[in-house]
Amino acid sequence: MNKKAIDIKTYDFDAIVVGSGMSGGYAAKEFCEKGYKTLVLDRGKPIEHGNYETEFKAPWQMEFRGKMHRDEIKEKYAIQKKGHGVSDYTKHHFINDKENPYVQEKPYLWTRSSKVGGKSVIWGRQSYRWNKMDFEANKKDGHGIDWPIRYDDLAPWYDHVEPFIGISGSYENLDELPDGKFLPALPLNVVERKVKAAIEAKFPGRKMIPARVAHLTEAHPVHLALGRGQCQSRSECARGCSWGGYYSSVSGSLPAAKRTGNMTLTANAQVQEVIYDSKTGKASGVRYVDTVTGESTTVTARIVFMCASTLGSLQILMNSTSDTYPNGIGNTSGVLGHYMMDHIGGSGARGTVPGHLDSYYKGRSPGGIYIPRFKNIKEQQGGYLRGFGYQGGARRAIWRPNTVGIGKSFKEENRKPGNWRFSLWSFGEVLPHFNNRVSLHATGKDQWGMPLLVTSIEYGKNEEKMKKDMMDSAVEMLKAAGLQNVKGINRATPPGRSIHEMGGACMGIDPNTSYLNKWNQSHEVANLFVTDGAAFSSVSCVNPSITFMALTARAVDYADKQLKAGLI
Amino acid sequence: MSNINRREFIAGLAGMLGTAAMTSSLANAVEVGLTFKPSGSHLIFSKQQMLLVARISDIIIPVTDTPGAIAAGVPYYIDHMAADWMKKAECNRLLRGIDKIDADAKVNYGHGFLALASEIQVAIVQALDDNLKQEPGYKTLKTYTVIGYYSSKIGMTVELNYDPIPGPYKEIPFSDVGKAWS
Repeated sequence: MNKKAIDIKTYDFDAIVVGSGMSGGYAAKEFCEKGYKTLVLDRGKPIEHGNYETEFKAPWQMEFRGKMHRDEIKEKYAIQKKGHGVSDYTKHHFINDKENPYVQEKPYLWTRSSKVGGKSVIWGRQSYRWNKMDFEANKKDGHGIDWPIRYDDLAPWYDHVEPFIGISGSYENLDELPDGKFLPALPLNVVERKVKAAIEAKFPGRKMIPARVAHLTEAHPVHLALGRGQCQSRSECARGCSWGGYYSSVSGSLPAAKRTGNMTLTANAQVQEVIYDSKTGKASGVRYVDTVTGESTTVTARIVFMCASTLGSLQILMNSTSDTYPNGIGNTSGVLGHYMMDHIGGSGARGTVPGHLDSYYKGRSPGGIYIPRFKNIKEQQGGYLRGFGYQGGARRAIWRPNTVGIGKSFKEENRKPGNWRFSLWSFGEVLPHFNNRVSLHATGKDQWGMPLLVTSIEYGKNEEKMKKDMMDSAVEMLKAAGLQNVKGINRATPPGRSIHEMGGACMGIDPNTSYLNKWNQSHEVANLFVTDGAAFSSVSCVNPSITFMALTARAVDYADKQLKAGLI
Repeated sequence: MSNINRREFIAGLAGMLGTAAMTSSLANAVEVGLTFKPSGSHLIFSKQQMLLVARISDIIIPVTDTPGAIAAGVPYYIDHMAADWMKKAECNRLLRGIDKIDADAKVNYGHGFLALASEIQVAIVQALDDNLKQEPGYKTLKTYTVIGYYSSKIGMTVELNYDPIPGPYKEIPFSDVGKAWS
């Protein structure tokens, strides 16, 4: 960029990025690589790649062999433990619920990271592009706000982020699940191949493919340069991985930002508001509180990117009040906090597959299978709108405490891996509804003075019907594929449980009905961008993280050009 | 074999063994004592309960070509879990279960469990295991024995195949490794 354009007397930094997870890490990388002096603020504690405290702990080195004690759950992780991935090995990567309250006007499970790197450290790593249909869905069925972009707008940015992240996948040429730039796919095992063949033969139009996951099945120079190496199939990812075998911002984007010399990363920094300057009509910076010292600091920059996680960003934006914007910065329309969504989950099926006892595997595959959406594509089915996809796979059982038997024969039996078991579970697209919203509590504040977030989000009839079909279709397929002991699963799950929260600062064309324009830019405050899940106007049914990153990279590119042109 | 038949079988076995059971009981107690010495640091179990848990866990997971439950520290693991992990109800179920095995042995054989011949001890545990669902105390003991063994260093690295850093994932024939991964 044009260095002369930066007036260091006026600004502390060129850019402020709030949050360092999927979106924030990527924003930091892109800004720093373009030469911007970038301040990254994260409310989490510091984390050091390569120094993950439980990474090499074996069960016998853990106090309760890896189980969490119920008193500790009750005391610190009452909400987090109901979500995904919290164990004795990973608990320190999750927030302490008692210290970080929020108000559930309706039940909502809010999973939060306690560390720099955010949920990118603990994510599920499944990585799928959205398809054309996803961006057109709101317009087609009239729910929510029409996206101001289409697949073709984002496709080049998927191309941009995928090689850096490193995503293993197979090329399938499917409209419903566009191919990307992939590393070699993780192989399906013998049982997965068998089930795939049976399902594809019996259900024309359905495909079972290797899961696309952000794991390095092959480390390319772009990864090796950051010290990342091939995935070792340990499948203990959420503890942190010193190999950088899976992508996190701690192994990927933040080191890339750091090596430019342009990044300042501040941990324990709870951003409380974006400061609005009524003279310029822009954001002048942010105010944050050091969660250790309690000290409040204001920093300034030419541009502010909100990447604090969907609910985190919304909480900050709603708390950014001024005479111009009494209901939150850039929120004249009043839509901020509305249209909250997640994926609906908790449904699927499992069963056993007889035979194949001579087949085994080395390593714990971080992949498995994926069945792309097949419902409501060409014709309406099932009495509900939109659709769902399946993840899952086949593994062999291991020793079980309740197995009958004692003595030598019992030991011998447990020495053999058990039967093959196959599971399918699903994420379904939740419709955007204006009334599903988050807001700030009128009086309640956390210990650092941040108003508490209030969640008022619930699923409706469409989700209920879809969820049932997510189970029924899984049972139907597994039975058709010849599995035994097939059991349908349809667990009640509150919103938030899938940890794919999106919406609240939706992108749209009309400033009266949406918060952001087609560049993730505030309709009203030109140097304020939101590029995490809050920006989403609908949610597709695929895991969102690579779309967060693609949108972020696209927004930084746009912001850079606007800044250089003097338009921001 | 039904529960009653099993009991009759054991009773018959005891009758058959007769004095042999009596004499080997001493040797057996010595053997258990040699194999397992409570260190005095046990948390909730009495010394007697420690010895009972040691012997029973050793019957469930004995020394074969690999070490068994005692070498894997299972008695201390269960004591620790009973003291610091289990809810009161589960802990009481376990303690009562252990005591009951000893008390039943006295009623049925005139001697505590530890004083019985090894064959009788095995037959008693086998009978309990055959009725796992009707024996909540034993079931708790077995559950923790199995978890304790297979999550111990010996269970994971000697008995089963420990593979903390497998390298790139691949499909293999089972015969390549011959044992389940831990």
